[in-house]
Amino acid sequence: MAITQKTTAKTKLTASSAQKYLSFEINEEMYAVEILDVKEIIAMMKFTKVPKMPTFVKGVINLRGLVIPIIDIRVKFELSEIEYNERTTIIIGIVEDSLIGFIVDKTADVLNITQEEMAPPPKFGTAIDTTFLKSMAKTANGVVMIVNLMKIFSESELNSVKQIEKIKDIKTGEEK
Amino acid sequence: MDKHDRVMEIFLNECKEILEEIAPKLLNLEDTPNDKILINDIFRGIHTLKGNANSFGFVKLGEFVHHFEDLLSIYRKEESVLDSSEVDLFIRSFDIVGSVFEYEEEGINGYPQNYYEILGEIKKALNIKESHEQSFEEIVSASSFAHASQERQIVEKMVEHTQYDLKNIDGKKIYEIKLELDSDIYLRGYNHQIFFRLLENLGTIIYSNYIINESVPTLEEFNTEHSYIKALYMYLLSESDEMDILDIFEFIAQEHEVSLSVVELEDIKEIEVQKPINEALQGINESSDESAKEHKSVAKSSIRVESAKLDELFDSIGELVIAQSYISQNEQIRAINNNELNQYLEMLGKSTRIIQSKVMSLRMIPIKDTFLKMKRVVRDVSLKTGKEIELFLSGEDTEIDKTMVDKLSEPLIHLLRNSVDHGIEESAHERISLGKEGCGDIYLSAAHKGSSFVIEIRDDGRGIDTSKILQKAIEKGFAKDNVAYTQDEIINFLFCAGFSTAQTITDISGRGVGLDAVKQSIEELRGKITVESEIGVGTVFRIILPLTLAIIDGLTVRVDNEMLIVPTLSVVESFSPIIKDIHYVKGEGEFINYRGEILPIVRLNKLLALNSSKTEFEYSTFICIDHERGKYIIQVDELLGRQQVVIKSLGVLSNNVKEISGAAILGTGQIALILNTEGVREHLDFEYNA
Repeated sequence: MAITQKTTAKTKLTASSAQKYLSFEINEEMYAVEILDVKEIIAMMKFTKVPKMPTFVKGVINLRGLVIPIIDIRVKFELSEIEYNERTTIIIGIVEDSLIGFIVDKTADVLNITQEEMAPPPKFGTAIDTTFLKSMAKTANGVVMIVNLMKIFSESELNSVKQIEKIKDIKTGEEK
Repeated sequence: MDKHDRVMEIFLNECKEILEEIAPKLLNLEDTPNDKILINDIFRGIHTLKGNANSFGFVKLGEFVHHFEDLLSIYRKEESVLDSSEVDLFIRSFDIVGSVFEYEEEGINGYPQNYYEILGEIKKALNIKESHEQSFEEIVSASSFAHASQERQIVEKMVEHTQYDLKNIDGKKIYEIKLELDSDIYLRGYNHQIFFRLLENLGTIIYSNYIINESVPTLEEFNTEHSYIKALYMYLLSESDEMDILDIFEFIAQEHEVSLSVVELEDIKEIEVQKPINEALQGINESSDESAKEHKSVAKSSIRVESAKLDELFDSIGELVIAQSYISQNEQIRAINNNELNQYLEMLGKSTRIIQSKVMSLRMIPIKDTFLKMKRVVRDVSLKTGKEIELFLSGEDTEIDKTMVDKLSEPLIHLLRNSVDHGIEESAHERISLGKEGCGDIYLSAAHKGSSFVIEIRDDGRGIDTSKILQKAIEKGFAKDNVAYTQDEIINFLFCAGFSTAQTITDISGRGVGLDAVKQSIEELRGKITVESEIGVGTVFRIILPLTLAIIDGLTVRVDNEMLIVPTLSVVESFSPIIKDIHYVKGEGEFINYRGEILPIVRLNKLLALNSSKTEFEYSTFICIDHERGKYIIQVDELLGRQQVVIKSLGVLSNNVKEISGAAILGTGQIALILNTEGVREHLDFEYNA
């Protein structure tokens, strides 16, 4: 797949100070991901539910013959779910060499953000768990939160979810 | 992976290929020990291996292969005769080559078992052979160039022609220098002229000969950077000692073979003229044979393709098929009703199908290599047990998915060992008294049956005594004393972990880790294994596998609004339930009386938590699933059809749901999840135990 090519392009780009970010909105807040972590953007499409998944895993989609899991970032961020509409977008991200779709309210511009505009993420004061926030950027349009896709969906997290469910299973089994 | 690693990997792969190629040839050699073409083939393989090993600093391998090559080179000659003990030595030597190679590959220190023992045997065999031959043969075998003897004869002539008085060369010696050259030697700065000039400083070159071993192309195709000279012989008359001469070769000696020997004049005198000419002629015949063969192999050449690339191609073809079927079924397009258009649509459909089947066939390779390996296994086991066995192969050309071939070796080895060890009677005497031939027959066959690939291992031995099995199963606690088991159920105990009926534990089989491991690996390949046996007549183990791991044959079912694929291989039948046969047992779940058996019912929508709505049994379809821990029923809303689907992994999600083994994209583009019948059974077991 073209993933390896992209990583080489990425190392080249880090040398220059400004990087490109794809910005998107969730619950009227601006977020952004490094554009090199994004394979493509598609409109919300029909998906197939997969049983026994954590609630933020909505299911799988067929992206031109590839089966790709999709995650609702709203659910992941513990926000109220909204009905998918024509602005709902799936950002196909590259996470550890596999493709994962992230459902967002809508996508916005591609931003050039320089190192100077970046600030470390706040340690407290937000309702949201901040480990997946890479940094905050102050742009002309306001503050943008730079998100680390890897952290939003890492296999280890899924595995831990799985383990928790197993423990639950065993417990309920015992109660029976 | 850096460059060195990549080169290393290429080298390792090449070595493995060579080893795989040689193995069956050695076994064939056992049947036709004097097939010179075969010996030559083996020799060439070993020779390449030697070159590779030395260039990668695999000293242990290089050392061993070097002597092995020497031994082989003796038998390349027409007059030498191989006997079975020598072939046996070849085979054992080859085993050492294999294990030394593994040691080198894994970077293990030390030497494999029997390394020195076998090496000693080789050296011994070499010594015996050499003392048998005339002294000039010594050089021939050491040089590995059959042409050498021819040179000798010419030396004699040359020496006669020149003015050198052979009796008065006081203190001077004639050195025979042999230099092997690689084809890319010029690129490394070698120059014939410089080299000769240096030699001239030390003495007089009385004769030199270039051995051109490969065909030199025409002038148009001639590559000036390529050396077509394989080796160089020089006869140097000199006062200097060996060290001085070898110094000249220092800059190429590390990569190339340089040999130096002193020629005794008496030897030269004794050489008959007639013999070398004959030999030379033979050499010519042989080499023309070889070049013809090489041409053939060029025509059959293959390209290595990463399997990931094939998978991508596969995905794209899947999309193509979907798009094609969409177009051909689109009503608007059909409404156009234009003859020409219809023709092209048909053409599109046809080519799409052809492409699809071609791409499928790319993954398929014949099972031949694996079968040939089995010959070796049977040979070894028959030697160890002292039973005379003949193995018959059939259907070797049957093709199967490459990834499956690799995983089939181990179970096959196991089953064949079992057949020899347990299946065939203890002695020929016993067999004859039963009215059979003394030699036990084992048939290994492969065939396509429908969309499955079937391998059969059939022996004409004593068959499986089910009463013994049952007794053992009860002893081991697998079976209950008071239950009446069917023959099939009893035979299935063989596949339980820790079950072994062998009276004595041998190193061939009988450690009780056998058949359950076989079963497991077959199941990993989505296959099944069955046993048929008749006492006194024999046993058949039958392995049924899907043709490829990438595609399964499945029933498409609807559960709520979702589609699911149930692998056909595990389906017994589907039926509409009769409500009065369904029973509800409190705390245990729902059961159905199905043909006299009480089977548990799994509601798929509940199991997969798809929807809370409860479908009434009478409107649903039941599918009976076969499983070795007991059949069970799954309830689905509708049975839609049967089709072959391409299996796709769920990727990062795949480890999370044991009830689902993957996903498939249907003709409509919709994704259907593939049911893992094993996972569902596990779920049932869990519920019962809780």
